[in-house]
Amino acid sequence: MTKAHPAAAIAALALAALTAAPAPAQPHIPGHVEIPFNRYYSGEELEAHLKAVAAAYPDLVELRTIGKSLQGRDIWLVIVNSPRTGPHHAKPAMWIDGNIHGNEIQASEVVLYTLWYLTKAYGQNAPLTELLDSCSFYLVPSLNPDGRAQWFQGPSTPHSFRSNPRPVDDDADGLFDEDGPDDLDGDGSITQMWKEDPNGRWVRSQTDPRVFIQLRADERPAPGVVSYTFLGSEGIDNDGDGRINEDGPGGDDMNRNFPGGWHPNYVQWGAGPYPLSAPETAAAAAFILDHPNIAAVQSYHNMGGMILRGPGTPARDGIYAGPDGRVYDELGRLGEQMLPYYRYLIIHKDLYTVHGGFVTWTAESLGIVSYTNEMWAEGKYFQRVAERPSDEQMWLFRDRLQFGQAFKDFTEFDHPTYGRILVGGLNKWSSRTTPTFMLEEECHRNFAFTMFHAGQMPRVRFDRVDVAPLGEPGLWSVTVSVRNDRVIPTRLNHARNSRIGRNDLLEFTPAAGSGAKVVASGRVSDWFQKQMDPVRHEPSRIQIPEGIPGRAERIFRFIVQGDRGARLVLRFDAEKAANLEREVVLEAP
Amino acid sequence: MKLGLLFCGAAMAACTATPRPGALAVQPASTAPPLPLTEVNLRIAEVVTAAAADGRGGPLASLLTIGQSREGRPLQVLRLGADGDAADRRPALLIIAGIDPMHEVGVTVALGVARRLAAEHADLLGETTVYILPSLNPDAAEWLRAQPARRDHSRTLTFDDADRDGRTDEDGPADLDGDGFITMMRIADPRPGLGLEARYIIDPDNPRLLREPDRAKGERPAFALLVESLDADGDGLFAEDGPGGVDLDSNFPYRWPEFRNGAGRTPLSEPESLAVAQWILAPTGPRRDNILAVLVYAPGDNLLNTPPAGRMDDTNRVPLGIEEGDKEAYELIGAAFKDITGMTSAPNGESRWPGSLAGWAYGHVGVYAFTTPVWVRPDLVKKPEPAAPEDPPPAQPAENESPPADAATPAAPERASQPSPRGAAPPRPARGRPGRAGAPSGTAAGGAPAAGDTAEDAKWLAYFDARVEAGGEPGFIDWRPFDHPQLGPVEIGGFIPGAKLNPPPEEIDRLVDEQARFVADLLGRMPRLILEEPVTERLGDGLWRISVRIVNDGRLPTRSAIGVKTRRLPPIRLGLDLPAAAVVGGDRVQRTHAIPGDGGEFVASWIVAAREGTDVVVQLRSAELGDRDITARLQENGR
Repeated sequence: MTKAHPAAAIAALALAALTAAPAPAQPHIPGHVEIPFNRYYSGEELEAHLKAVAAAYPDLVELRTIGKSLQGRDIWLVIVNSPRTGPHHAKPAMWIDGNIHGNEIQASEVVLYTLWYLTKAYGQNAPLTELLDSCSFYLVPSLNPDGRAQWFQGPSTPHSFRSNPRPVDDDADGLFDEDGPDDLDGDGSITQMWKEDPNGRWVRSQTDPRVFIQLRADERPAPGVVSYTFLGSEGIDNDGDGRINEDGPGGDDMNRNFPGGWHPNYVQWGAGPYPLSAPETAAAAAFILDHPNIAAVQSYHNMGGMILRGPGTPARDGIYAGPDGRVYDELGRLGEQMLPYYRYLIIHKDLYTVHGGFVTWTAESLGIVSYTNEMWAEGKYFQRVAERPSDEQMWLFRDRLQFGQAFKDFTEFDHPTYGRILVGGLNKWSSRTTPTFMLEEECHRNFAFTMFHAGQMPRVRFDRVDVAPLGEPGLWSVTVSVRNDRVIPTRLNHARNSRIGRNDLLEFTPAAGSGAKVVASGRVSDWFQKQMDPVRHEPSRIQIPEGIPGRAERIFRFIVQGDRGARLVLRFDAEKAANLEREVVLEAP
Repeated sequence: MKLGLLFCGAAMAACTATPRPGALAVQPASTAPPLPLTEVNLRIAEVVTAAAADGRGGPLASLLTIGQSREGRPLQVLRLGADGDAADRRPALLIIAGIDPMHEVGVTVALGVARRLAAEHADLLGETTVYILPSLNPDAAEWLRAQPARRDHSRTLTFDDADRDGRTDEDGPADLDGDGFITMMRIADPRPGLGLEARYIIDPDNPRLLREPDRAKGERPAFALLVESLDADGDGLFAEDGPGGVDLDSNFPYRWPEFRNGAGRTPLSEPESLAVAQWILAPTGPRRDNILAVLVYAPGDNLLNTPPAGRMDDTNRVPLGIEEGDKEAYELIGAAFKDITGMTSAPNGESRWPGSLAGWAYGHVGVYAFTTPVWVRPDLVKKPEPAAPEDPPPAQPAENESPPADAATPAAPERASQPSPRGAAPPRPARGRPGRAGAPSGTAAGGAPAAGDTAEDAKWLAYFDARVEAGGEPGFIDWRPFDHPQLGPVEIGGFIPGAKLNPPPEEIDRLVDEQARFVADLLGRMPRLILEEPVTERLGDGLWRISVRIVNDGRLPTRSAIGVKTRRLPPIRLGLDLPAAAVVGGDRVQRTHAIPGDGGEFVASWIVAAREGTDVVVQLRSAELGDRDITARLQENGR
């Protein structure tokens, strides 16, 4: 799992370069690989970029596949780690994934951006170098490579191919995926169908014929004005059952397929037959369960400009109460400042009820501080107000800023059911995706938020170790402060209460042959307290189920019997923090 | 019957042939040890080869492997049904046993039922199918068999760090006194410094039992109670992190008790539970849509204790018990079960429902699901009535001796009085929250025996005493002093692990007979669709009305209320093989979700435009009951 250690000299050189380099002419970090972030990448292009970065930074990057999608595509996972400070699994790690919903495509570009920026910044930029020396990253740019492929290659709308491609009998006729939409005009998008109809309830706008206006119930079209009927998305009656587009491809909503409060389809559409039934969700879960060092999770989606946290249902509110909630709030509120037009929200309260979501699983079942960012906020179109722009403003945006690239002109089509119709309208790029010329900024701000989050993963140190003789000759008191400098505790309150993961441990082990023995130990509330709250058993190994809280210290005391000069090893061991080790000598200060 | 006797004989032989080191006073064991897996497989194979041919050239029994246990043992399903794979398209019952490896009677009876069905019910097996998965937890069964001492272990062998201390399975129960059984330790007046709290007194009415003191009467606690064990890891807790594992019957996704000890890290985290889910619900590939009912042989019961109807969880969709619409079916089937088995009461097991296989089969798969412990204490069984008119009672158990004293009292309902039916021990760590695993050892926080438990345990004692008096095997080991290396003087004793779950071998024949008759009864109730001749009427030149009726000639509706609710399967469909344009009136495919039993019907009708004399194929499609076609010739035929 661990890569070969790089020569320490190289790392030293890199750091020397960092300190010796002249002040940069501009705040720009050159990299070995250039990736433009003013465009989107298909699955193949994404994979090529991952491989290029991995090849350019072999010391920092390990590219693996954690499994295959339903259609056999690789699910790529990138481990970013600085091996000179230890293997990735011995440090707190942040998991970042995107694109579990196939149509939410910029959720992959932002993860690619994260990889790209982190690797080029290491050794060039002090804060990011320091960060990558203290933790590792597990990046999964696309958890739904099949959905992404369908979105790019197949015709789709902004909303389609959210799910995986598992065939599902949507119309309960015993046939699977037999009547989906069809790209009648061959433009790569599923747009809309309209038909001239004397009884139609729509007319085209006088000023802009691309716009259809619905008539009021008491309104009739003006004389000479053609009226239309809206026929839905592009498609024909493929299975001859008299209905159109009633059983399209896919699938399960994989963000409803995770354990912990999972409910089946009759409670919530898309859940899948059972939790982790999809190869993609099973692969992600297996990796995460194998890596208890994961201390932060970020999952990317579109859209709405949201930094979301759980729970997905009111019944689970209690899990986020108290100190854990304050951790979420602190990070989330700072995120709101870093991400204009984004709001920090709670899934069930501010969005909708979700059972079996991914971040609710990592947060509630695994005790990991987890957020979902819904990328792209409509306020960003004009950046003046937070609301969605008016229809007129949107046409201005499409015409003057996007030069019409999100619209497909209406063309005539001879439809087997409806006869002569018009096909066209807004294409799959017309909403949800960040407009390409704004993509880099959105990636960067989200990336920066996750770096802040990663920087708040627990970081502990022995703040102070006091050795003092204890009256009787040969008895010593060793008082130890374990301090966590970051916001996130080594164990969330919920993890402690629900017994998730392993207790933190503070072990004090006499060196072989030292003759010393730990005879008692306990917690003390502050440095002035003379009495400790003793542990009853195994004093050389203090169990700390509550962990070390954020930005706080916890003080422990060991009573040791041993000769002056005897050596012992102090060791702090936590699942979600780098372990500490330090030698202690029994001698008067 | 002959074959059943064979089973019994084999079980007894196995029992006596396994001497237990150190077992002096209490040999032989009260129940047969678990069947070795090779034996289980052998018997499955026997059923397959011995099963009569179906009369149509195919075997009546076949063997499917649906997965592997964690240690690589095959998970085998015996399929009983005519015509090979065609059996997979007929309404089916699935029987699962051995989910709790302590419940050996379930495995033995499942195999016995298989044999009986194959030998005596070829008729039923032409119309319905029975899948039998006799041993869902073979790893633990094998492991238990290899243990030098008989012990409680109802889980898989998956490693876990139950006490979250960074060490795995480091402090389990142990047979300290070497009597071949891991029972309990009671410690009188535990000295301070041990970290134990006295919580119990000796029950004055029954000095072998402990109960909580009645403070109102001035009783003071005097005893601490622990599982027979050392504190192997020196953490002050006893047997808080023993071997294993996941309780498979808490590992299914239905209302998964996530933070309960033994529920697993995720639902279906175990290869054994996952194999069942994949087999039935396969995300891709063939599913077992034809399974209409699941019967689980395991501790717990919902045949005598009809689950509460119409109560929902916090989503307001998922039933806590059963749907209102399924109540009648449960009551009818429960009554039949009661009638056949004579059971008057059985441990409820409602607390076992979340995360259970049966709960999942009902609430998620959407089929009828039943659980029975197969065997209950004899005072909970109505005594056989002399000479039933037409159906002579099967070979009565040899031990028709006078029942235990208190069995004479009319059996009051025992429901909920015994939350842990195999509960040899109140502080059994098995089912508390994860963290509680360790807690009870010192403080018995996990399960203080309520007065009801003591009453229940008193009945068990009375039964075991009577059994011993009649020359049978003991179920309780009397307390005997033991010098515990860490605790000082203690007493070791208590119920023999598994004794409350498993009958003496001589009762097996009767149990197989009862369960086989119940399964036959259940199969006889399966829905049966009759597709009647279509009726055609001329409405005009080249315009016809076609009407078709399907009738459910079985007792049960074609789909349970929960099945209708889950919409896991498409409805029953009646369609025509005509182009859409020719169907002038009526949906080309017409649907119904459920047709009631006992003659319930569904009528589909269409108006079609076609020439006289055209043959139109009417297609009946049902995921559970199979497909059928019938031809309607367009001509005036009336009826």
